[in-house]
Amino acid sequence: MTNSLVRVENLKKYFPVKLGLFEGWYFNPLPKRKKLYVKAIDGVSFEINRGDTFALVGESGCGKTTTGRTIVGLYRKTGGEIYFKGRPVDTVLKENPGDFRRNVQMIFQDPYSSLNPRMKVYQLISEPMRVHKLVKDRKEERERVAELMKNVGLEPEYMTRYPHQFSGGQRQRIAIARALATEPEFIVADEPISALDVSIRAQILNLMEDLQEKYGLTYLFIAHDLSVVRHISNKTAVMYLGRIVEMGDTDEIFENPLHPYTKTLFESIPSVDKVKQPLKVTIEGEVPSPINPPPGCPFHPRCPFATDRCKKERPELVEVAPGHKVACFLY
Amino acid sequence: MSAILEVKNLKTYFFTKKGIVKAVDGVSFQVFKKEVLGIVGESGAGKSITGFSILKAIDPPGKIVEGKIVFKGEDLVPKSEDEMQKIRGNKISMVFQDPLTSLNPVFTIGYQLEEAIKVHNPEMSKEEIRERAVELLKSVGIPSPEKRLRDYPHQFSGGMRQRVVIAIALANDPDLVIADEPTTALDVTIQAQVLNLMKRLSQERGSSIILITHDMGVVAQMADRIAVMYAGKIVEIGPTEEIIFNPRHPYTIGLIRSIPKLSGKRGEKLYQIPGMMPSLLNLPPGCAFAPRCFCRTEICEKEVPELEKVGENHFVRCFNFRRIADDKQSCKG
Amino acid sequence: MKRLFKNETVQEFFESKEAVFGLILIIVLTLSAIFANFIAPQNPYDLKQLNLQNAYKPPGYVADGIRFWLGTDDQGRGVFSTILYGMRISLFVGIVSTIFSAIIGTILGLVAGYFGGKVDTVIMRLADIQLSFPALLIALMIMAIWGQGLDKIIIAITVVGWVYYARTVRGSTLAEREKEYVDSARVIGVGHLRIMFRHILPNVLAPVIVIGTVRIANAIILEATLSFLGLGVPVTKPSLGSMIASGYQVLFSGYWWVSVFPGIALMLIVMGINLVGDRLRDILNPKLKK
Repeated sequence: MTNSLVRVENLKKYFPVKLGLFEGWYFNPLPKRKKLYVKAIDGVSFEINRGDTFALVGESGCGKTTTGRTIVGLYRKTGGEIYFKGRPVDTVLKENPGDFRRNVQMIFQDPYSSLNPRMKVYQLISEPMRVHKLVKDRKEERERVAELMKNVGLEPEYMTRYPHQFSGGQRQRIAIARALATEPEFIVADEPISALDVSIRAQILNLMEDLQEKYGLTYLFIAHDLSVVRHISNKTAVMYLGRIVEMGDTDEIFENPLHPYTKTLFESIPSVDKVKQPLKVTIEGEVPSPINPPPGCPFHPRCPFATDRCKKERPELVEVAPGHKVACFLY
Repeated sequence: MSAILEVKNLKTYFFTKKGIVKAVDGVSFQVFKKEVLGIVGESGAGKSITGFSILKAIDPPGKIVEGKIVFKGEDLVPKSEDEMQKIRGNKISMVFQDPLTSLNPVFTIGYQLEEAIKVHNPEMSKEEIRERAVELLKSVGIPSPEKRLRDYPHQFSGGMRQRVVIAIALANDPDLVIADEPTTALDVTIQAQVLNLMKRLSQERGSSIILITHDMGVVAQMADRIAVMYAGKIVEIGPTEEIIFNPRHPYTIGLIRSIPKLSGKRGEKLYQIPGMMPSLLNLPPGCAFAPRCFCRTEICEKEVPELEKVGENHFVRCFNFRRIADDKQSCKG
Repeated sequence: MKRLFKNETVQEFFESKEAVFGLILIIVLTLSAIFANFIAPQNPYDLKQLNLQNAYKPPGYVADGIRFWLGTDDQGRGVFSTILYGMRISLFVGIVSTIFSAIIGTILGLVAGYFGGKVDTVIMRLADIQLSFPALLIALMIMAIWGQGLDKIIIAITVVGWVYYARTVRGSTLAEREKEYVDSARVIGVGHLRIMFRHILPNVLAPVIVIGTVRIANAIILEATLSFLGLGVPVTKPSLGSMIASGYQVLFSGYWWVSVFPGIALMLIVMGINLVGDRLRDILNPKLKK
C-alpha cells in the first residue's frame, strides 16, 4: 500500500477547433481541412500523496484548470492515464462509479455560478448525500446539513435561504460544505479564492486548512497567485502551455526556482514584499497559441537563455535535486 | 509640489428604490504632478465610483451631492456636460479593467485612436493625426504599428488590447490618467509589462496616475502614495512605505497581514479580518469598520471618526489608533 | 397571500397600469365565461330555449321575457349569451393546448440543448421545417387528416405551438449547461435526468411563462381562425370564431351585431393577455434588466 492517492501519467486533453462556416455540418460543400486541436494539456505527469496539498500554478491558458477538470471527470481525456488509489480511473468508474464520485469532489472558482440559484442551501448541501444514499432519514439528513454548515462557519438557521442572499465568501463556504457532504478524500479546488474580496480570502484559505486537518483531505489546488500557493501547498507544479516545466516541494521551488519561466513568474508578481521596487520585466512577448505551439521547448520564444537546441528538442522533466524536477536543458 | 487635482469632501450617492447608497461619502485627497496615487479597497468600497466622479461620469440614480473636484485650479462639479466632454479623454483620461469592452468591436484600432485625437484637436490634418496614431502605438510597444492600425480589437491579445487602450488614454497628453483595475484581467507576466509601460509613459509625459485596484501588491510596487478606502470613506492615506510597513488603521493592518506573502511559510495561520463589509444601504451609525475591529470602543459605535494626522503626509481615520499595541493585533488599555 | 404581495416580481408587475388593466380584463372575462350559466339570460345550447322567430333581432330587442342586449343571430340565439358560452370554448382550447405545447416543447428543448449532437439536430431541424410553413396551414393539414372536433383542434394547436418553447428552452439550456453549477452536479454524481429537470429546468422556466401567456392569445386566435374557416367546433356549440363566421355572411345586410360583438370579445381577451404577457417579459427577461 503506497501513500499515493492520485497519479497522473502522460495526461493529454485536446479540444477540437471549429473552423469554417460549414464545419460540423452534415452537408459540407468546402473541401475537408485538416482538423486542428487546442492542446490544452499535452503530456502531464504527477503524483499526489495522501494529505498533500498539490498546487498547479500558471497563467491563463496553461492547462491547469483543464487538468483539474479532466481528473474529476468533467472532461474526457484524450490520452494518458489517471490512477486513483493505484487503479486506473476508467476501471474504477466502470466497476463502482459511486465510490469515485463520492471520494473526488471539486470547489469552483466562481461561487456565483457554481451554486444553482434556484436551490436552497439545505437542498444544495443535502443533494450529494441523497444521490449517494448516505443518510437514512430526513432527521439524520438535517443534522448532517446543520453540522456541515457549522463546520464551514455558517449559521445552520440560514439553511432555508437561497444563494443570492449570501455574500461571495459565504457562498464559497456553502460550496465547500456541499463538496464535503460526501466525506471525500480528494478535493480539486479551482482558484477557490480569486473571485473573492481581499479581506475574505484569508478566511477561506484558513478554513480550507482547518478542514484538511480535520477530515484528512488531500487537495489539488489550482491557482495563478504564487503567494497563495506558497501559503497553502507542500508540493508545487508550474505549468506552461499544457506542460509542467517545474515541479517539486514548495519550499524548494520558492527558495531555488530553476526554470527561467518560474523565475519570471516570481519576478513579475506584484507583492507587498517588494515595496516601491519597480516591476521587473524579464520576458517580453506573450504566451503562444496552444493550437500551434512552438516546436521544441514551448517557452523558447520568450526565453532569454534559449539556444538552438531548445528550438528543436523538447526538454523532458528531469530530477535535478531530490524531489525537484525541471524541464530545461540548462540543468 | 503642486497638486493638479484636489478632491474635497466628495459625496456621491445613489438614490435607489431600496434607499440611499452612500457609495462615496466625504472623500478628500490630492494628486500631485507626476505622482501615482493608489486607491485600494474591496468591491463596494467606493474606489471606482470615486474615479468616475472625478470625470463626472455618474449616471442616475447616482449623483454627486456635495464636494469639490478642483482640477488645475478649476472646480469640475459645476461644469456642464459640454465642458466636461472637452476635459474627458483630453486632460483627464481613463483606462478600464476590461479592454475588450472599452474598445468598440466594430471599428478598427486606427479609427478609434484617430478619433480620440481628432475630437480634441480639430485643427490637425489627416496626415498629422495618422502620424500621431502610429507614433502612439509604437510608444506602447505594438510591433508594426502602421499595419496594425487597420486591425479590429478582436485581432489583438488581451495584453496588446490594453496597450491600445493606454495609447488612446495618452493620445492627448493628459495631465491625469485614472486607471480602474487596469491589469486585473491580465496574466502576471503581461501585467508587469503593462504596468511598467503605464508608469514609464506617464513619467515621460508628465502625467499623474490614479491607480484604482484591489491588489495591495500592485500599489505597493507602483504607487507613491496609497489611499485605503472602506465603505465609501478613506480610512487611511499616506506614503506607500508608511502604509505598507507602518499601517495605523485596524483595517489596513488586517488587510496587509491577511495577504499571503511570497516569503511566508506553509501552515502559518493567516491573520483574518472577521465578518465582512456592511451593506452600504445599512451602515452602522459610527465607524463602518467597528463591527469587525479588534480595537473598538464605545465611541466607535456612536460617532464617525475624522482623518487625523499621524505622520508626514500620513492620515488615519480612527479613534483608537494610539492604543493599538505593537503586535498589531490587540489593543492597549 | 400576504407573502405573495411582498414578492418583488409581483410588486414590479403591479407597477404597470396597463398590465393591471390587462389582468383585470382577463379575470373578468374568464370569470364570466366560467359562470356563463349563471350570468347568461339564455342557454344557447338548449334548443328548447331558442325561437327561430327571434332570428336577427337588433340589440336591445325584448322577446320571451328576455332582453337581448346585443341582439340575436340566425338561430335566434342571444349574441350576449352565445359570447359568454363561446368564450368558454375559446379559453379552454387556448389554455389546454398552450399547456400541452409548453410541456412537450420544454421537454424537447431541454433534451436537445442538454445532449446536443444528433438528438439536437433532429429535434431542431424538425422545428425549422415546421416553422417554414404557416401555422394555419399546418393546423389545416392536421384537421384535414383527423377530422373536426374539439380534441382535434387542441391537438392541431399543440402541434403548431411546441416549436416556440423548444427553441427558447434549447437556447437557455445551452447557456445554463455551461454554468458551473451543472459541472458541480456532475462531479457529485447526479444523473442526467435529475440535472436536466431538477437543476436546469427551474432556471429556464421564466421565458416559458412569458411565451406561454403570449401563446395563449395566439392559440385563441388560431382556434377562432379555424372555426371561422368552418373547421372548428360544431355549429351547435359555437366558439367566438364560428360566431364571427356566421355573422360575417350577413355583415353587410344590416345584421352587423352578429359578428362585431364576438369580434370585440375576442379582441379584449387577446389584448388582456398580451398586456400581461408584455409586462411579464419585461420583468422576467434578465437582459432588459441591468
